[in-house]
Amino acid sequence: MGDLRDRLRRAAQMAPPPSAEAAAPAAPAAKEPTEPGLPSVRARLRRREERSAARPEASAAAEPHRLPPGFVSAPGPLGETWVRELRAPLEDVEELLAVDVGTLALLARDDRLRRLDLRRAVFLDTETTSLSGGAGVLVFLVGLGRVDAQAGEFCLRQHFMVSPTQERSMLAGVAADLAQSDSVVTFFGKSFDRHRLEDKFTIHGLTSHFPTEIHADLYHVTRARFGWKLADCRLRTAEESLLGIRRVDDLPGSEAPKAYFDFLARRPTLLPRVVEHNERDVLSLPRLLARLAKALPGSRAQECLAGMKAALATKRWETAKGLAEAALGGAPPVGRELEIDALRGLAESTKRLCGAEAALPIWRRLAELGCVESALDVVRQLERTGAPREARADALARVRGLLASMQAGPQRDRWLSECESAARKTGVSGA
Amino acid sequence: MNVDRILRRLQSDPSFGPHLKHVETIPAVAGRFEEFPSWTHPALRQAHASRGIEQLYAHQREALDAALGPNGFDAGARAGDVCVVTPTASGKTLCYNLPVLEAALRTDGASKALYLFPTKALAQDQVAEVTDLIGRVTAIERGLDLRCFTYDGDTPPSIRRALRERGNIVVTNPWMLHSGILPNHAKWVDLFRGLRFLVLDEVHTLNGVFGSHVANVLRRLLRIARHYGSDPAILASSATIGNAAEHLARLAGRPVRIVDRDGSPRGEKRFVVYNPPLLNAVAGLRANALEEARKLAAHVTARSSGGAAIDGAPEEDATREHQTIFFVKTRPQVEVLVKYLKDAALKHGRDPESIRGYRGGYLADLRREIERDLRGGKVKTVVSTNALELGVDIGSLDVAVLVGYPGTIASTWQQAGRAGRRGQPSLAILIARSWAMDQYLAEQPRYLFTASRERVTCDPDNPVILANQVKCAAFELPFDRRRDLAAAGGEEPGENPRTAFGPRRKDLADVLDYLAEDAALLHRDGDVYHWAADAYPAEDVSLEGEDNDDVTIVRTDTNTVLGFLARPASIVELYEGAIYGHQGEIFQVERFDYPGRRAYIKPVVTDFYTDAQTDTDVRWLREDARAERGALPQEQGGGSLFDVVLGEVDVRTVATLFKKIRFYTRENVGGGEIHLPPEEILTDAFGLVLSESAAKVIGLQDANRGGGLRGYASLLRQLAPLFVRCEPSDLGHSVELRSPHFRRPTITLFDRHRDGVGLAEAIYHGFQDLLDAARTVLDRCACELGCPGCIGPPDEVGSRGKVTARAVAALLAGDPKAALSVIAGEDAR
Repeated sequence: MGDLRDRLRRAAQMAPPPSAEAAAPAAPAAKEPTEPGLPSVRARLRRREERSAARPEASAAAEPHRLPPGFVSAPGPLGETWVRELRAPLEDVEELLAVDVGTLALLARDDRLRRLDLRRAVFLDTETTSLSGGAGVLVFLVGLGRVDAQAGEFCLRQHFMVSPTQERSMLAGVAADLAQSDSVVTFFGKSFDRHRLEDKFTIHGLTSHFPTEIHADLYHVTRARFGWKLADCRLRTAEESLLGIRRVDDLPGSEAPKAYFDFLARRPTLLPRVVEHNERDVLSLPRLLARLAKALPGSRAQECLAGMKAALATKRWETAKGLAEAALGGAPPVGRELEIDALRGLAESTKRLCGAEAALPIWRRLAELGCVESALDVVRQLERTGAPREARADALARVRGLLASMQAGPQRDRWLSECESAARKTGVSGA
Repeated sequence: MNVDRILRRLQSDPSFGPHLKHVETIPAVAGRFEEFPSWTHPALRQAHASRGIEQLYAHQREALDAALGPNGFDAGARAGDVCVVTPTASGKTLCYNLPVLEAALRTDGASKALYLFPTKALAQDQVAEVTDLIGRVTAIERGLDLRCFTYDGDTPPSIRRALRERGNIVVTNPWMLHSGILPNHAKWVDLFRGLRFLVLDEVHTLNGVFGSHVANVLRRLLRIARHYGSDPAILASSATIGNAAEHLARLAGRPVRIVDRDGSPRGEKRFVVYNPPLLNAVAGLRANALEEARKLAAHVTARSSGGAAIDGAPEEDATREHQTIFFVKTRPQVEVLVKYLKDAALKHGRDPESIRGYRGGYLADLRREIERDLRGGKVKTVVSTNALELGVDIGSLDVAVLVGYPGTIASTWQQAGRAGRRGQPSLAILIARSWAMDQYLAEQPRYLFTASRERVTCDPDNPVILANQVKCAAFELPFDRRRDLAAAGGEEPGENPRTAFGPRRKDLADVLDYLAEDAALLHRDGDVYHWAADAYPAEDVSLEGEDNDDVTIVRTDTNTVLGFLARPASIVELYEGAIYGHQGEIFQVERFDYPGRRAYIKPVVTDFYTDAQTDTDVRWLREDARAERGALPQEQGGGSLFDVVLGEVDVRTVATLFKKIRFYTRENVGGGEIHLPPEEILTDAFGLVLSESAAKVIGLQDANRGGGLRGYASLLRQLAPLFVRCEPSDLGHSVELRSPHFRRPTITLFDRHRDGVGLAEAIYHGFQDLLDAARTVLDRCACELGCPGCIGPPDEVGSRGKVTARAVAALLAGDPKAALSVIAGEDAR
């Protein structure tokens, strides 16, 4: 047997299967068995190759390592790293710094965001070799943006890993930068970027300075505020419809892994365009944030309600609940009709998300506001949970009271009959 | 329960008595006891005392001393590696729970442990047990917060985080470790940093290809632990096997201390071999074992006092109700026997709820309920597949009935071991089927008590498995030639020191270079190989042993999920029209959405069950290597004797027909065709192709010689694990008197794993040793016409089987003269 690597290689690149003639008895003299290769590995590899049709040609290698333009060597806490810096003028710095973080906190349902100070925040986006998780995913490019209030500029600093062997020193550089911020702004970072970076810090035994406490993930804010009207909640969609920015010639993020692997293998690579893509992503963050936090034109509550109704219709209960809460939580207080609308949406979404028992207090409040259907919901729920007789009798009395002042009609008749059947079950005498 | 009384009654019953072939009395053994080690933490000793454990069995004490040493836990040292190899119900779990909790107590919860169980059921059982123990310990040692969690496919995502960060003991299975925990080790950093113990339960199940994968998963685990600064000790347990020390060393990658002198007391056990009466002596057809089990139940299952006897058996004046377990072979058999027993119970006004079935495919909650009710005594009779052979905690029962030989000596004793309360007499009955192996044991029952336990094997250094596992490992942490290869010493197995991936340094280097340069999955920079691909390799590497591609079984009347079944089994159990049993209730499959993996069933009233037939077809697709061997003298036609071939085959199993069989009478009342896709694998195979003239020499063309050739092939399959490290079940074989591909008599041994793991290739390179071994076995075996020790009993291989096999063996050993004289000897008689 040859060495294992030869066998594996031969197995992967074996000549086409012998023809039928080869199967017939060949040479008369008995010979040593020929080297067979490993058909099983071959089968496996064949399938893998079919899966990734774009498997790189081994022969296309040998282009010198060319860094994407703009990167220079910089000393980091644990050795050399590669960094690209860029400053972009910011219009309306004052306005940006004064955004209403309360609105963000409300939309994101995260009170910690009220402490968000954009002077100390870092805007972050990463490029990785896979969108699935796991220890083997490489974070090869980290873009960090900051507002320079005095200069009225936005400063972008991108860290790049020339080889995976530099991972540790690059991460140390990123960590040192993160340590200067107490808050972070990302797009989908709560689900992705944060975990990729934290995993890597852990693996390398580095302290993570990722500011997890105050983390504005604009994806969730976009969903809460505009989810009802956007086709989807991707960053590019939000840029186009909310900021009026249309990216020309942008490399989709899904191309990033291949670009980096090409770079590592010294093949022609689209890596410079990945760098540009990352730059645009980070630059978009402050503008999107400003738009999301902007006080709503006209009645903010109205806009939330419209969104809530759209979300209810499409069964996006989380969004509906968030928007209902946002409509109710704003100042000045909303009027009674608007409050009923919002509470009904809140009750419905709460019931779907957390169960009927959680919706009970909301129904009670609606009953107080004169909403017959919700008063009946209270009766039904008390019946289901086997509440004490007095509580059920009280709830029934309220329904009856409301029905008494209601105009006659089929709806009222239906409610009345349900009311009476409930009364019989409870053992309360008829009206 | 009075074992002697049951036995006497069986012996005096004319329908059973004459057929009890053997009664072996295994004498009671007194327990050997020891004190808890003086170092045991007071809280831990008290917690055990509160469960009634004041003393240890000698083997428990030996295991504890081996793990933590004479002076107890030492925070500065790794504990000892120990494997306890004692029978069921001998307190094996204490041997690992105690050191784990001792260390946790002494380190204020900083010491962590990972428990690996071969099945989910065992894992959940163990969590309940440890949680109870922890509860008792923390009730005494207040302020200490210890937690034990299961992490498997059923763990809700919402609690996974808490579990990762706060679990002192994490209980999981090899599949979750392989594809969930190890590739995401950064998330488990708290566990890995404090990892002091790796607990491996029932390690005898980690065998063959599956075991070879798991051994590599352990290599990955230990490598990650080292990365985070821990070096866990291995605490293991195993059923009694023939080669525990060797198996553990291979699995763990280092020698493990074996503790196998059982100190637990054993009550007297009667082991009865029952051979049902011959129905048709000419055909050798015996009464159906399942029917016999039903009749036997009247004698061996409990009845409530005053209840009528079933099936006319004499009334038992039972002093107390005892518990009985029936072991059957298949899931459908569980359901048929449960139905029989419940019918009988109803007929006699007894509680059918005290009779339960237990098998894979039930929902977890139902299984937990049955286990609980067995422990609590509410369930009197349980019918199970080998699912209850492992250490699921159901307490000890009184009578075990094995409906058919379980296939190995080790399994026989595991199943029989389910009967036997501490110090109480117990009874085990083996009902022989018409099958050859069972009949042999019925005739030669001593074999059961004298044959040594089977050996289990695995081969972590199998090149294909190694290549796949190194791929997964490279995803988890980079490989560095200086660190990961330089430590290695020799090239031969057994030489020290070893690399993190076994002794074969060069193989590891080859795999890394292959993955980097040929497969383009790794990026090599100097001495370091990094994972550099957009893929999650653990997803593509299957450990075998479990097919996650389950079919969901839905009840259409209630629209609820009744259970699950693995896809390969579904084609013989869930075809449209199939009768599907569940706890004695009968359902019929209305529709089987095979692509959607859902079967829809409705309750029905029928008096029949269904049984599917399958065909397995092995087709040669390609030859990768072929060589002629041996030469036939000119006077016999000249030419070579046979060819050896290595190539690729297509193995197809297709369900063809089903029969409707009436309950009780077992008459065939109809049937139908099954239209489902075949289960198909492409894999490697080794072929032995006899030349035409060679076949003529021994008269293989005679139809009645086929049995001998089949017996010989089955012998090769049984022997192959001696030369290729795997289990017989990792290989399949087929025999064709005239292969459509080769047009000659052909024996094919194939790798039963999808795509193959190199077993056929290994046989191809070492076939001569295998053929020699087969010939030696045949020549030395004293039997005249065949026996389970060689080619199988005469009923199976035919009266000319042994002679034919010996002639084939001689021929394949390159000795046509000897082959001729074997045949001539037969003709002379």
